[in-house]
Amino acid sequence: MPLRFEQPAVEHRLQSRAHIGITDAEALTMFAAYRLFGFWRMNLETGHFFASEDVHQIFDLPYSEGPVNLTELMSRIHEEDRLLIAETFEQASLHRVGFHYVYRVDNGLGGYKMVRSVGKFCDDASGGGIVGITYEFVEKLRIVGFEDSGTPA
Amino acid sequence: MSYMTTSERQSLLSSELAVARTRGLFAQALGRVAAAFGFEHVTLLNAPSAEDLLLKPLIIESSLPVSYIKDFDRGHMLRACPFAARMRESAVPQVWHLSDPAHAQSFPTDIRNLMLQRGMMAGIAMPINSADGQRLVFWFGGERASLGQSEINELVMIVLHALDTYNAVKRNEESAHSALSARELEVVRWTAQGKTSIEIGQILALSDHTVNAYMTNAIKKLDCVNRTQLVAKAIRLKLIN
Repeated sequence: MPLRFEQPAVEHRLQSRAHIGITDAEALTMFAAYRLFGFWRMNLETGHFFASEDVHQIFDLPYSEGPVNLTELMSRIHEEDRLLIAETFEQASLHRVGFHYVYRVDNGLGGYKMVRSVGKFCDDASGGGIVGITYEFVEKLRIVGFEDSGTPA
Repeated sequence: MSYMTTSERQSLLSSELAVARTRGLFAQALGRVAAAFGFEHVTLLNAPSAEDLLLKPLIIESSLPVSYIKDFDRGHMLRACPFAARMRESAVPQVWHLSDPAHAQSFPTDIRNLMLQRGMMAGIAMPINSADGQRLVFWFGGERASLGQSEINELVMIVLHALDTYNAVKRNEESAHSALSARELEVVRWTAQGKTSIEIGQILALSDHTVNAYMTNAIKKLDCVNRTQLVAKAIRLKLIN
């Protein structure tokens, strides 16, 4: 396939966690904490895109469980990034491969925020699709945040 | 030895350009050409006419920072750029390096300052005509040593391959635009907006079977294998917006 990845798509090796005692769910919860972090699915046969609440919020779209208006979603993406993203989906659906990209999304304040999406081909009973995650990419330096529900020791 | 190295680089970059079938891949391949020659940026643009005031509307593909283009246009620098007129009058590549006093003085102070601030010490602008007779310019710029004649010759050959690729990409895009009927386009547009075949049928007063037939035709015409690829390709080709 002609598409090239600047960063090799190497699977993460499984790491030993038994002695640490952290579950998949806890790892995901921590990764998703303190930022908008959503999930989505692109159904290959219908061409429809379904997304969770945070994805809608990232793109400033009203939430619905039904298919997302992709035309509207794409309009929120920086015009220089839009075509490459469309092409990534095109190649991914054609070659049934995973991908990731970082791109600029309208922040509603006259500028752009950085967003990262990771997609993975999923072959299932519904005819296959691409499932993925999308989150705001705000790796700020020297930032601290605490949960609201702490209990004193 | 250096002949082999040059030949291999030219062959590799030309091959990469030859397989770039879409605008995005073409832009990526151009970026790799720039990097292989030590340039940070590359731009393909329509050659400016005497009436053109701004750079931005002329750009076809560019890796230049948006802020550079904005500053360039805010200062109305296009008309003052010494290369603008030469791009129309001559097919000879224009090469510069700001460490050369003669080159540096040929640019007005504000353009020279902008180039220095943004690390565009060296560059080359190559005018060329596309298949439809349009005058184009391939422009490379960055912080590197002055280009030697053999590098210029090599880059000119690579740009000829880049032009072939650009012509092919443009032909593909134009044929895709005319390939779909108005009804097929409508059906693809509604699908991208999240409508099911039944909903599209209700909107367009068609049966869902007819809607599916239009979709199947559109998939075939745009050489796709599924609706996801069709929707993504239609967005990429700006058939829907």
